[in-house]
Amino acid sequence: MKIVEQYLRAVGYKLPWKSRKDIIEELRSLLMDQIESDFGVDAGEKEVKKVITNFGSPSEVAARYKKSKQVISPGLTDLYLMIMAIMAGGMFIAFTTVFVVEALQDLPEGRELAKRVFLVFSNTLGTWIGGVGGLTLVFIVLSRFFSGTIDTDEKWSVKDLKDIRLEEKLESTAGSIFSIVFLFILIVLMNLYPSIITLGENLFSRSGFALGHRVIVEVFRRYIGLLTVLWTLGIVFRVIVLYKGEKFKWLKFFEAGLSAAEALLAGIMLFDHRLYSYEQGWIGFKVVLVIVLVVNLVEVGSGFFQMLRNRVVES
Amino acid sequence: MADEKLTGNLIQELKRGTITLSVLLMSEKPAYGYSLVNEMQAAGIDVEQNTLYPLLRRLESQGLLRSSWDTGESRPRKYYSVTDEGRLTAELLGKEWRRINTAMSRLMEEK
Repeated sequence: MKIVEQYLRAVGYKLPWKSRKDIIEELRSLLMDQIESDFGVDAGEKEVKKVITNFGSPSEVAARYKKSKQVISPGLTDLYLMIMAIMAGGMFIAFTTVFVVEALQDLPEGRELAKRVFLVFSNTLGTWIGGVGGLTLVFIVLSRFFSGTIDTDEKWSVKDLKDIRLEEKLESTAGSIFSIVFLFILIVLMNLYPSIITLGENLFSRSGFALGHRVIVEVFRRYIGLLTVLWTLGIVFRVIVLYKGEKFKWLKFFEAGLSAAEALLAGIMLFDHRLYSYEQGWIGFKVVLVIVLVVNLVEVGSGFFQMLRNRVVES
Repeated sequence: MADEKLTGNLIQELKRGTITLSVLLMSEKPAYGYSLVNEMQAAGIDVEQNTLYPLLRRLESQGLLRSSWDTGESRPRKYYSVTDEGRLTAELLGKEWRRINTAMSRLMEEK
């Protein structure tokens, strides 16, 4: 019967290809049973159409044979949406910062100013769309390969509770979000506009303080790759902290390693004389590096001290 | 007055598990989709064909039913029958069903 075959073809278009042939065969047999039972072997086209209508639209019928698929695991959806929002905010702040710094340099007016304001929005949107694409791919991979560990607590045991230290405060969500936004801004700024360092130095000079040195942007570019890796790891760390809600043991090791690496890189940059065009003092970029070095060393030290204290409490 | 749509959805939810158990119990001898719908309706279990047919395939993929095509009749038909695992599952589901039924009956009587 032509109308039945047309209906089956329409259903087939919407079925999963793997089982399509078998489902169509079965549906044909079931439809013919129904037609015969309702209207006999000599059913006319009108009667057949009635049975088909009762059977449901091709989409409805096919949907019942499909397994529900989620591109991103439900356990990760909130985190995915949050990072998407953080990326949008971070990129907007980054491009606005560039706009403000550049505007303070050459004070644009009229059409040029309008063009630059427009660029803030278009650059934010363009970079955000690209970023969301990459983010989605990462989350699809996470959802496909780790869905079991993300959505279920199958491996959970009551013994795991002993690792939760009630004396330690829960990680601040606002603090983590702020760190992620800040790192996003750094990555975008340093990769797209490394010369922002020179702009910053120029602005600093206008304040009346004398710069003790100036950064050679071409040399600084060589460090950007390493810095981006460290900042990206920093984002990954913060995202995991947000997801877990607490810094568990291995996260603390990860954090300590990251801080040590940042301190090491800051130290290397501090004493890399090729990085500076003249060195007559510490005022300038070196102060930033010293702060980074000290803060990270303090973090490594306090992490180590906390670990020791926990050991003592446990023993 | 009760919301008809909401009540309808809740009834569907209540039925869902019982249909699976009914299919496992009624597939002791091989049966094809259309005959199973009729048998179930005759036994007082209200099931729509569009609900049952995909369910049969799902139970097969879960190893609770097995299927085979019979090409000896006027048209090819796919027959389903319960597997050992399906039989065991039906037994466990049956026990649970009786326990829920007893508890629910008591609850409703108390009310």
